[in-house]
Amino acid sequence: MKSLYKFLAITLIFCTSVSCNDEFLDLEPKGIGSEQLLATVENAEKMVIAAYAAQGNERYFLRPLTPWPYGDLRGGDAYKGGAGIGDLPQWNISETFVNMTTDEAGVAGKWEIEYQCVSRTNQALFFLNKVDFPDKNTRIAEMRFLRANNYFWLKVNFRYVPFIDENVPVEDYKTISNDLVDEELWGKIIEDLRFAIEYLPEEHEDGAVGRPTKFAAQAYLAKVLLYAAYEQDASNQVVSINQDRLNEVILLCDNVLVNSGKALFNDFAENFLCDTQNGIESIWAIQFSHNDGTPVGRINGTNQVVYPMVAEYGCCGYHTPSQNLVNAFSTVAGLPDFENYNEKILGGATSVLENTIDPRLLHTVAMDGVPYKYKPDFIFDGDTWPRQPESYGSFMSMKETVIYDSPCYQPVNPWKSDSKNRDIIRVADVILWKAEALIQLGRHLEALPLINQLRNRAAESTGKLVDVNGQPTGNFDIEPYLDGVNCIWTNEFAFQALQWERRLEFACEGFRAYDLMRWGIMGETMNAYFDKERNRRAHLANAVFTVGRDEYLPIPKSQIDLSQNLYKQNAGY
Amino acid sequence: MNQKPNYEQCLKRHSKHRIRQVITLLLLLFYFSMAGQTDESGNQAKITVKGTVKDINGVPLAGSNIIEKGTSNGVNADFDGNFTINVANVNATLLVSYLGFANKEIEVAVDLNPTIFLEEDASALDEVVLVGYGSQKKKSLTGAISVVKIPEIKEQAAATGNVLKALDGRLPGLNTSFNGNPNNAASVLIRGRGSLSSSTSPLIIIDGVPTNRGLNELAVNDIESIQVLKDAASATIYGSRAANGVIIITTKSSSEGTRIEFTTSLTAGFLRKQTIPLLDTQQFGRAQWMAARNDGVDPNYGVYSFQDRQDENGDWVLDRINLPEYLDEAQTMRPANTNWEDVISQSPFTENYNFSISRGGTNGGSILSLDYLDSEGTTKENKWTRATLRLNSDYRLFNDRLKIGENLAVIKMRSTGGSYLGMVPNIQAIVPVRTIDGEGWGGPVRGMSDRNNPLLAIQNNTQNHQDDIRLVGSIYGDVEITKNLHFKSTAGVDYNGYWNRQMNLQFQAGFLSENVTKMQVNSGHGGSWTWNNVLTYDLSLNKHNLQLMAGQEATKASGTSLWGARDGFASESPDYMYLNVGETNVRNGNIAWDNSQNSYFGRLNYDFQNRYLLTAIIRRDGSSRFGANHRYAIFPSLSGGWILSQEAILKQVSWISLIKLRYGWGETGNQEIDNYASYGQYQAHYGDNDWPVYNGTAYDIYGNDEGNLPSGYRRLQLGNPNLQWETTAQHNFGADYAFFDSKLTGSFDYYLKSTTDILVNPPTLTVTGYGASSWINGATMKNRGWETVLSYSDTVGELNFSISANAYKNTNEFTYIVPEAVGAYPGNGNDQTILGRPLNSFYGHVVDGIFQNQGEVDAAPIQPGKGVGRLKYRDVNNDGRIDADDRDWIGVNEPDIALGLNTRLEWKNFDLSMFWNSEIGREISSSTKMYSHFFGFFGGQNYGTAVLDAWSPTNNTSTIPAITASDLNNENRFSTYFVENTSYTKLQSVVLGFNLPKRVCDLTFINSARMYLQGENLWVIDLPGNTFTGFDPKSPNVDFPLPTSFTLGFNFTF
Repeated sequence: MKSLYKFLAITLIFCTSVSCNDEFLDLEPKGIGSEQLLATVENAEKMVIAAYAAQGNERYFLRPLTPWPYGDLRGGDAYKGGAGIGDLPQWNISETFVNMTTDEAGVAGKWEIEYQCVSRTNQALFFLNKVDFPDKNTRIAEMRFLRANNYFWLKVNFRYVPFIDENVPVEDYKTISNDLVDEELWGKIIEDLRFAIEYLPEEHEDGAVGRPTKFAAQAYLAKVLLYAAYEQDASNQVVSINQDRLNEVILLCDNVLVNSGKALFNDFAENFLCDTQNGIESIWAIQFSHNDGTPVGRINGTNQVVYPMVAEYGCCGYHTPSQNLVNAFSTVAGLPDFENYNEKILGGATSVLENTIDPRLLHTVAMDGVPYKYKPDFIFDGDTWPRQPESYGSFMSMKETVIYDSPCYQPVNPWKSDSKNRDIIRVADVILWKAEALIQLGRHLEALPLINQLRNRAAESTGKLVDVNGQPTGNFDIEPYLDGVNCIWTNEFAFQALQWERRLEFACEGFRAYDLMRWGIMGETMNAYFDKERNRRAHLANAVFTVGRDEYLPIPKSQIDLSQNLYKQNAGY
Repeated sequence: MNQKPNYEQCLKRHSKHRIRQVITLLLLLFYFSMAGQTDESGNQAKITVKGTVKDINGVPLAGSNIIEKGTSNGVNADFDGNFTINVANVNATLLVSYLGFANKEIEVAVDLNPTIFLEEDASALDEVVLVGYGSQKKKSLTGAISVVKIPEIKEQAAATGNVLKALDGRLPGLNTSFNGNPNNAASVLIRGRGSLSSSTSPLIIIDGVPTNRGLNELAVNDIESIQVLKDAASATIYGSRAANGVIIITTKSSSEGTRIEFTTSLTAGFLRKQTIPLLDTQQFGRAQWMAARNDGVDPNYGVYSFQDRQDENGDWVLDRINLPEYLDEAQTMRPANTNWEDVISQSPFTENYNFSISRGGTNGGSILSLDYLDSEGTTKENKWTRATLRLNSDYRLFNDRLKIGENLAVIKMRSTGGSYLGMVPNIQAIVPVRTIDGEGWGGPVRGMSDRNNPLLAIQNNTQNHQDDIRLVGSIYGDVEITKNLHFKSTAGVDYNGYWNRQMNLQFQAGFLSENVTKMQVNSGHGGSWTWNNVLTYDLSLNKHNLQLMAGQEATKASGTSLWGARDGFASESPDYMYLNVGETNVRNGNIAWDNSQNSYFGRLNYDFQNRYLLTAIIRRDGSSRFGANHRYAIFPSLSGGWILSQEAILKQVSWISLIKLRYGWGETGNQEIDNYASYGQYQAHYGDNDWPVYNGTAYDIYGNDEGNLPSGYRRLQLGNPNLQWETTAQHNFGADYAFFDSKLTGSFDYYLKSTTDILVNPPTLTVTGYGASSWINGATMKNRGWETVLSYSDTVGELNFSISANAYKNTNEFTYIVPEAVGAYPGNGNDQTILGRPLNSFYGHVVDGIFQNQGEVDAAPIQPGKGVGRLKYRDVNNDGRIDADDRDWIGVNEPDIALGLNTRLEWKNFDLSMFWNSEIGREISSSTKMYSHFFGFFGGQNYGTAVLDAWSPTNNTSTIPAITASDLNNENRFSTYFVENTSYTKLQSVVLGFNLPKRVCDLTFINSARMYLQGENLWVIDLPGNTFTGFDPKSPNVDFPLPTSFTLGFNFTF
């Protein structure tokens, strides 16, 4: 028994003596920061940087911020490309519409990447609101500008999306539905942009060109108001156009064009070159970089798949301009061939010398026998440079690429990409928004010089479109519209001219589907496109656009499920 | 506890020795005092019997139990085996028993001074079992503990170098999964999955040191014993880390005398067939043509062109497949017919050598062992080597009152290469391995997938390897404070350091190229130390046996890693490529982690008359991983046993050797979550090559395009100060039995497990952005099941044979999860959820065959892309339209029942053993079927030969949908088409052994010698219901196939 007592006594002594103080269990996380750590001015500023970073964190793998995968593929400007339709089949579904389902993974990816940006801006705003410093309102304005940018893309892709700002605690996110009607959601975006206009400077003192200026905010607001002006019914059809909004569009555009110091480049090409980034035409651009201390550079992840298969590059042949788009560049007496453009097959070095074309074609589309990316001795081979020409034709999109010896070029094996900035708004946009607003207000005569401004610039932009002998690589024939001379500039004609001008100017920049959606002609345009194009490209054989549904992407089913049915699905799905 | 290397036999003998001493001392203490008391109680004793109990060698059995049969009158023998008992009359019968020996009955009338010889009980029931911070006789166990028979698995384990791989199917309730990777650690699931995001691996204790590293790193020949604590009543002693069960491993220690042992095994393997039969060049052309003509498009694309025509019925007929003279424009590659799997495969060869010297005596001993394993994978350059130096020693001082010992192993490992089989389907057969000049690499050309030449990938990776050095061991001191009161202190360490260099060389292959040489070095070190202090006290009072244990344990784990990378090296020589000479893009990084636990625990074992058993355990655990508000938890358990066969009425039934009933209940925990899971976390993440989306925080805000960037922070997770451990409560009902002199033995266990507060990190709505999730205790899961083992062994003439079968079934049910997380599991998140179903359930579309004709197509509900030859999906909700709402529950990835069968024959010096295992009713989701049975889910890669047998109007019995290069019908969607039943029986191993006869050995300096021939993974039989189309049902979707192998092994002792 004595031993038992001893056992108990020793146990007791032992337990009390080794009784570990809690310090042993109190370990500070290693290499991890806390909310408290970040609540300083310096760190709030850094959270702003992180929010900018998100704007360039896209990847081609179903998470694009660059708009071409949805804007061009769903607008008839381009095909997916790549190694057959099984290569990222999600984008094949998006360009053929008919098999779109609510659980298609690419749609969920688009939703994810845009909200990732929104989340970073809201986090930055959360920390900005905790501190005080002179630039505070400027930074808040920057963040609200960024947020407006992402909500704009969410709005035009999904129509009904939950709007969440920095004042919503994370635990309440699940209570916020996607039930804001157009007017309300546009209103939230407009509110952010009005704040941005009020507090953003005309120029940033720190010289950070990546920050939006007051003019950028004005331009963006003009864009948003223009979209918001076209009012849609429950089945996505445009039913009225809001005149007040159009009037404000004009005022905002005027202010930007007159006061911002921004202007068109002399040569259209300069919008698509590495060494003219952040140039005079760029109103706001996403800044990419390389050789910056990251493993592969902060490059454009969506454009990782758009380079040709030739040895100087090597992957992956995505983003192939459609035959329809190429044809749209043909001209008759210097004007677009409105009626018969799609009756012929344009394309290839001989073809573009035999037929009259808008010079912007050879800035936009790489084609057989024509120098690639302004390098006269670097001739695109339509049989070997595209990935699978038998399926997607032999064109490739060129605006987003850089030449292989450019300082911006950055391969990321097996993909290729570059650090060339991505313009969100350039001056040409502002000019055409103003023109569009004027036309819709019946002031089409005032729009005429604006459209011609771009046509004249295009006409002058042939200096780089030459072969090794300095000879032009195409039969360039482009004229301004001259009322009573080469056209009758009625309101109806002016709107048609504007629609064409937008397509030619911004071809393959990812805006086409959204223009068609805004104008309320997406269904008729796409089905007419398919009628002809399906005979040219087998992958479009069964493509059908369902009016009242396909103007927008479905709300991702996974999100509806996660929201426990708080989110409502879009019309038609 | 000291152990000797002759496995159970020695273990048993030695334990007996020790227990004998202990019990003897104890009884001497009480003998005199108790004896007097008996007299005072006025017992009417009439006859005095004085006797001696010995074993058959004449060794006194101190403490043996002598009972007057049919009464409660009994005594224990003294140190010399002597006893004196007063019995009622001359007709009395004495029942003499001693643990580990067969009972014997003595009639008093025959001899009043008997010398009783007890024979050792040959059955394995008297094994000493490690139960955590101590040991117990298996006979007196009240929990569910499996003991691995090391000799049965040792030879199989040596062939792979991993003891866990050999356990597959051997222990009921233990599910092992692994692949053919030579350094594959294998994963184990004990009694089903009880956790979600956190680990489901059992706690592994090596010589008292808990470890998180794989058992593949432990030399098989160094292992002396393995025990698996399956139920909570046993595992509770390990508290918050024991919810998934505990595996306790001890390594060998010295035995008396000098013993030198050399063991070697040489294993050669091969794959029985292609892992996935892929199209060759001509077949691919044919498939492309078939698909295009089915799709109504021009088949001439990519590198293929065709001559074909329409016959009189309008059907297309292929006349000729034309291959281009060159694949590429530069004319460096001619069309080939490459079997890429063959190109990168090798017949793996594995060697294992173990050499040990053991020397021991009364004052202690030591064992030194050296082990080397060189193991190859089935793809070229895939190899793992492991060299182990182990020194285990012990010292006994002060008449055995102090014992000091240590176990220490230093393990050096190197792993090279990996599986490249996953790359094989990504490249077509027409691509040559090399360019025409024989020097350049073949690679993809236009129209093909942007994936590299697998052999090039292997070759460019050969100089990359990882070196690991691991130090694992413990040192202990055990002091006998007073009689039966021991204090043992153990300090252990498990530490690892690694270094690897990843050189990415330049290459050119088809349209793929890299012209920058890059290199990254990773290194790190880390591990844990453990210190525990345990007091034990044994007390035997008459028929009461009491064992008390109390202890404390502290564990701290930490580690750090460092990496650096540069680009632009002037030479690609491995001798040149070190960080300092990289010229561009300097990058580096460093992280660290730690965690700590502090615990107190106690155990009480009590038995009365070796008949009624009781065990109670309590443990209090604190962990740094939990939220500040919930650092500590208490885990209790209580279990009892009743040895029915010790009851008088059954004792007389001669054919019953043992019947024992057990019941136990207990709680255990799980804390295997991220070290800092309870903290809100922000982190600067300057920029990395993240996938599938970049997640960097740096930005070129100044528009410089190059140079250092300002960076911010990203949110990683939200904090939860209330985070606590998962708790598993488990009931276990068990029965052990042995009949016919223990020739027939077995056990049966039924258990009910309920895991609550399961740690989950539920998905958040995408609108919250990344890093808005947090760990919570938010789910409940139930597992129930049974396990049984039945063995029979006997001798017929010179033939010894044994047969042992085991079976188990586990049923898992996910009963609760926080509502916001439901959507993260199979189901539609609304009316169809995982709740009430097994966690591993499949939810998807139901395929009702193939549309045979246009009439069927027209009559079917709206299904975008439907057509003749296409898969027909069931309209589950009957709304006339096939969409995401038409999914259903279509399978469970768990076996209905798992079985193992082991047989062994011994005849003279030969032995033959055979092991079969089987899983019935497991369903898996076959990802390989996406390319083995389809032609269009991925761009420009190769596909399976099965597509040639696809459905067509003339091949309308085929179940493979018509070949198409598109997927308009969205057959990629998850459906019953991809769910396959893997029911199989596998002849896992056959061993034929020969032991050199003793008389031959006696002529040489060899003490004993054995050689054996072993076959492994020999034969797979599909059982009824099997629909599996892949390579191996055991390892269905992995890149490392399991080879069939043959081993020649030798074992010599000197």
